[in-house]
Amino acid sequence: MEYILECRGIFKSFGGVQALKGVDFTLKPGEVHALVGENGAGKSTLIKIISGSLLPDRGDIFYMGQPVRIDSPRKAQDMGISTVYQEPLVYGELSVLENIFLGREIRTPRGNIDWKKEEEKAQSLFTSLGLPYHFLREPMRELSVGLQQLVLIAKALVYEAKVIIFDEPTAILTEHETERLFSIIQKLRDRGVGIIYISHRLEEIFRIANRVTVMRDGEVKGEFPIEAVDRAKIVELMAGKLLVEEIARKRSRGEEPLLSVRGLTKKPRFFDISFDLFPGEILGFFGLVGSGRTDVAQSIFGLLAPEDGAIIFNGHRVRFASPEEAMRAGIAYLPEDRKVQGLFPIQSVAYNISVTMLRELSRRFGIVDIQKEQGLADRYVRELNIKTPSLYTRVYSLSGGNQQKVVLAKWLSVTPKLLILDEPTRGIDVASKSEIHNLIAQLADRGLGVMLISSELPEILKMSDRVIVMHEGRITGVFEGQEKTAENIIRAATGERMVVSGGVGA
Amino acid sequence: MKRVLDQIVENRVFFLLVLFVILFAVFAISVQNFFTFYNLTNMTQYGVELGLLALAEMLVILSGGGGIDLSVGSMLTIVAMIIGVLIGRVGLNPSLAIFLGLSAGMGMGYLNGVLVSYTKILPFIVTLASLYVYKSLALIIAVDPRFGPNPMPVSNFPESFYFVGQYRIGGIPFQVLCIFIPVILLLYVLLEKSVFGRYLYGVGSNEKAALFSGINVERVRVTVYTLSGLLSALSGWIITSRIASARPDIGTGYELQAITIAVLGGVSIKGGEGRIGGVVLGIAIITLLYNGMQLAGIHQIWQLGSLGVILVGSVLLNQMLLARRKM
Repeated sequence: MEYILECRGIFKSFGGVQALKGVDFTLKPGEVHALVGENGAGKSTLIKIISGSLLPDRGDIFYMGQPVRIDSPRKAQDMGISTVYQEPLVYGELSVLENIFLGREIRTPRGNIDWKKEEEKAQSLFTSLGLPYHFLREPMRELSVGLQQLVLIAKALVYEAKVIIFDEPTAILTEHETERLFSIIQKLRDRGVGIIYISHRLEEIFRIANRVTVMRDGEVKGEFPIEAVDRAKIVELMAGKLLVEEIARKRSRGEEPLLSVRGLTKKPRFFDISFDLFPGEILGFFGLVGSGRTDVAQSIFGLLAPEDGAIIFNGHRVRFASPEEAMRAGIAYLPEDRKVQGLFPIQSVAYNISVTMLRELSRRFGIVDIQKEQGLADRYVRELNIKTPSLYTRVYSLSGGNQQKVVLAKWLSVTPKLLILDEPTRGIDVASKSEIHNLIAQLADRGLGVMLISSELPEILKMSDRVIVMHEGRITGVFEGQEKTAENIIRAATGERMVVSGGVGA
Repeated sequence: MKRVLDQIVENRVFFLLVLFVILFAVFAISVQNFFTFYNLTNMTQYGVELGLLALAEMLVILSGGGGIDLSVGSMLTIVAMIIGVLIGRVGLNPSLAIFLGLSAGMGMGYLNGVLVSYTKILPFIVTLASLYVYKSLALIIAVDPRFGPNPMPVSNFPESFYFVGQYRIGGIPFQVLCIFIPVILLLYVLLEKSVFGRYLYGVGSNEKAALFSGINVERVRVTVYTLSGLLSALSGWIITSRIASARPDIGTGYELQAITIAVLGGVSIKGGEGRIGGVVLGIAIITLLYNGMQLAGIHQIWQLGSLGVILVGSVLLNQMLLARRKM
């Protein structure tokens, strides 16, 4: 038996989207096999299939040489396939010991839980991993995220895991915790456990992986022993020959910056952020989740208070204490989570569009002029082509794309000077997406400054005049013109410091 | 016809209207002395006191975030005692005493609102605590040192003080015509027509989105708790005038009845949903029920039970009709 896990010709589609197109993936006992790729490459889908959360449409999975059908996470765990997620799934109120043995309790002959044996077993497990074990009786929530992850690894060992999947385990760990995790992964590998390691941080992969598989667009683009590949090759495969047609624009960038950010810092989320944004410009912000893009945007919009640095908006040095103030100054922020931060789902379309404009729509004594309100809503419904049965339909019954247009309408109605868009097209249909793209371009042509945050590389390449790339809270690249390529952007996003002329590209 | 039926089933206000009409017809036919001008107008004055508290609950529950005000009964009591003691024992001018009483109500509501908004303690806990604190304060105020350490009711008011609770204008009780109806109209404008009303529904249906849309969430919440205090205070004033006595135990148990009426009226306990028309009908239905049962000679101890039955029964009936229509 050469492979402990073998996936052959795996296909999976969601609706009309082909997420996996015949993927092969193998894992040997005692190796760390890294899986890399951009967002949407298909890594998560593959992992969900291996860990039993999804069933493939077609293809075969062999586990220890036998064909298997993994139809539930429970079954995967019982077979010996465990997954450690970025955000550990734990029972915070239960003790560490209870978490470790949950579902696999050691019992006394009379059927009670044998705490002593459990504790002994846990102690020997932790000792063998080189970990302290004084916290076994403490509630899980008292532990740091890093320790919680390690407890889950211990739990995987209780389940006699032969395969452990790590899904971006280091994204929220400190440096010290990361080092400790690596040494444990090495110990597990030496015991013969097969490890699938997903990370966006290429330097980590070169440290601990034995093999690496690069995925893009639902396909495996290459699989190499780690010695046979270098960083540039991996980046090239991840980026591919991305053919993106830039959206047609009337270049009409203003002379004076609309927004200047200098040395903006809020530890530990972002450090020393400086850039200029001009009227009529679409400035793309690319980076992985957690790279600090959203935090920078929210600091400008008055949702977070930066510790240090300056924001100069429209010629004035500003620091907004609340979104209300930022809004009045002419800044609009379309948040990344439409349902939670953007919409009032049980309220009407008209309500959702007009809510930011109520003061302007009201007559004496704060009474809303319903005619004006309807007029405003009606205008935006037509202008943005929002498909809704009526202005008084509750907004939750619209499709995702139309919901997003409603949120956009809410912000356009305040006629902002600066429009911050945080993942404006996430999770919406293709037609609405291209409509929103055209709209963004039109708005910029009319002289608005647009800050476009996106995790989608094609969107960034299509829309942006300039791209700022962030990695772990710092700007690692500013690209425009010929330099604005998929490869450059990915290199910067994975931590390579690129052209950084003080961060202020112009 | 089918459209009318759809409306009744889907729209809680219509549903309650139909329920009200049926209940009214049943009592009018079967209960003697029910369908008389005197009884119908007399009945309304009993609805005012509980009704004001139900409107207070409506505002607070609409604001979401687990919004609830358990202290309305205690605020009512304390205001009744403040007005009673200031007029009856201190001998203050009644207008000034009433003004001070209403201000105290607003102050107590404001305190609830500040605690809820800025400390992030759950409204249930904040107002449960203030229920007891305000109740104790009411008892302390009621102590008359001339007669030892026990709380005592106050009942020596000048004749002019009874105007609000006992007089009629054109046969209609003063407090209905000059306080309750204007309050309902003002709240209607506030909720349905004003910027503040829009903000209130927004904060109640999605607090995060409200914050991200530039709405001052804390200010909205503090305002509704303050209004709740004011409405409770109005209720305390009216009740004292009507029964010609300020009693330190008068508001006990009102808070849960008020919440029940608000919920019966279609206010979603999750916030952000519910119309004032529904709550007014809820008040009307409960007032009708209490009065009809009393005239029919059913003992008072059945009152609260019937309140519970109406609440569950109406929601159940509504759901059953909705389910049948969808089949």
